[in-house]
Order: sequence, then C-alpha cells, then structure tokens
Amino acid sequence: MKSYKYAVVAMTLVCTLLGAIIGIQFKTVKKQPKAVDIQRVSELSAELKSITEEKDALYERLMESESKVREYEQSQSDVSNSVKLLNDELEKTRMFAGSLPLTGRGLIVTMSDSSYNKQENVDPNAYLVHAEDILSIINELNVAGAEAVEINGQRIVGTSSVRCAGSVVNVNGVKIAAPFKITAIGNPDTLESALKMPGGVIDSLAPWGIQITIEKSNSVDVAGYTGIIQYNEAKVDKE
Amino acid sequence: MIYILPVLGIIFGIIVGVKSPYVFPQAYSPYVAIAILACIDSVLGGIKGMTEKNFNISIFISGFFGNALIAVAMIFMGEKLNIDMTIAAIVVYGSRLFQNFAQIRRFILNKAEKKDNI
Repeated sequence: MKSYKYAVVAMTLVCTLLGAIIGIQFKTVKKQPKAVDIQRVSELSAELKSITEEKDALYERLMESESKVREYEQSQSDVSNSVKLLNDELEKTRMFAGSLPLTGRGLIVTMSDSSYNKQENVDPNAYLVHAEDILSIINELNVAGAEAVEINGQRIVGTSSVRCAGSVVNVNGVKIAAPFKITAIGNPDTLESALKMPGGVIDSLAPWGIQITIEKSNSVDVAGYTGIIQYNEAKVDKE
Repeated sequence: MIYILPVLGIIFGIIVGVKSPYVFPQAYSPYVAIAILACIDSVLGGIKGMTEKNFNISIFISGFFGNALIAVAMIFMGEKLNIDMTIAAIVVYGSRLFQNFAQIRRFILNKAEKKDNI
C-alpha cells in the first residue's frame, strides 16, 4: 500500500466534519417530541380532574357571592324609594342582558342523533345533530319572538357562541352532548309553528332521522347567563 | 499508526457536535440523516480506494459532498413528487456501505495473514 499520508489528513478532516454532523443529529433526534406515554396520560387526566374540581368549587363561590350581592340589594331596597327604583332598573337591565333566570310560557325542543341504521356510502356525520342545526333552530325561535333561549342549561345571549367541537357542541365555551334540550320562553304556538313550517328547520332535518320533539308548556325555566361579558375594546359612541 | 487519525477525528467530531449548542431544525432531520448515510458511504468508499491503491483525493472530497447533496436533493424531489425516496437512498447507501466494509475487512485480514506467513 503506497503512502497515503496526505489522504489520511483529508480523511481525518472529513471524518471530523462527519462526526460533528452526526453529533448534532444525535441531539436533534433526542429533542424530538416523543409520543405521549401512558404515565403522562394518567398524570394529565389526574390534573384535569383536580382542575375541574377547582373550577366547580370556584363556580360555587361565585354563586354564593352573587346571592350575597342580591341580599345586600334587597336590604338596601328598603332604605328609600329611589333606591328601589334603581333596583328595578337594575333588575330590568339584568333581564335584558340575560343574566337572570327566567320562567314563563314556552316550549322545550329536544334533538337527538338519528337512530336510523347507517347506510353505506353515506357520511355518518349526516345522522348527527350539528352545531349548525342547533343554530338554525335558535334562529327560527328568535324570529318567532322567543324572549329567552337556553340549550342544556346554557343561556343564549348576545355574545353566545354555538360551535362544533368534535363529537360534542360547545355552547358559551361549555361542552354539551346530545340529546340537546333547547328551552325557549315565548308564545308556545307561534314558536311551534315557526319550527314546524313546511320546508322549515324540522322538515330539513327529518330525512336524516334526527329526532326532534316539541313540548309546549305553561311554565318553562331558563337559566341565567353565568359567563362574563367584558368590554375591552368597545366604548359607547356618544355622537 | 497514522491510520488511527480518522477514527480519532470522528470521535472528536461527535463529541464536538454533541457539546455544541446547535441543533438542526426539526423539519430537516430526515435530510440530515440521509446526508450522514451518504457521507459514511463516501468515507468507507475512500478507505476502500486506499486498499485498492486508486484513492484520489479530489474524487474523495467531491464524492463526500456530492453524494450528500444528491441524496438530499433526491429525497427533496421525492417529497415534491409524493414518492418516499428515503427508502431507495437507505437501501442503496446501506448495501454499498456493507460491500465497502466487506472489502476493507478482507484487505486488512489478508494483510495480517501475510504478515504471519513471513
């Protein structure tokens, strides 16, 4: 073998470069996020549980504080007539904002997923109740003059959102699942006929076998909105 | 024993690489992996060339960088054309790597035997 001294130098340089690349690649691969392992899942679910509990406790405290505020208001209202007037105004405004639970004549619409045998070649999604279906029912109820609308305990107010979230529907940021119980206060007959109008919402959902029952009642309860409405950007336009 | 230098070089390089603060972007990781394979193949090819006494430094250096570039380009094209060229590169470079190594092994072992004979 003839002397390859110069070649060995080149080889050494090249090998050093190669080694450096390999070393960096080692680190790169090590840093790659690994699939979530079982232990992590259980950790996360435990964390979720504790956070949910915490949320429930906080919600309870909120309710307590609200009832306290109401108590104070009640005791204040005895003081004078003007305070009483203000209180009435406040009550009205609250009712308008949707933060008070209301009761009155109305109807309850229950929507559940189709019980039809799923046909082949048809998207199984078509047999489920979607956020859009709920929205169109709410829309129809509002057109017919519903005064207050609620879905599974979530009051629909001006800032409410109804959107699809995987297998469930997100209303006001709270996940709710089928069956969806939409409660509306208003003239029951008007509301019912608005929904049952030929070519209306119920007609358009019927082919998919989505079960919709309408129950008129002389007294339905609608919960108050429990979320917070914040105005960070909006200001009153005084012009 | 000057021939130990490349081995020291590669060890030194790995240490430097691991200690260095640099990391390849996550998206380029597969390209780098193939480039490394091509480079290892080139190095073994160079050693094989030495054993056959037809080592040429310019061929070696151009092969080292050229092979890596072509491998990366091929995979890049494959990704654009929706074919997984990674496997082709791995198979080709892998098999060549083994062949080269076999030849080097044979050369070294033969040399050792000859020495014993003397």
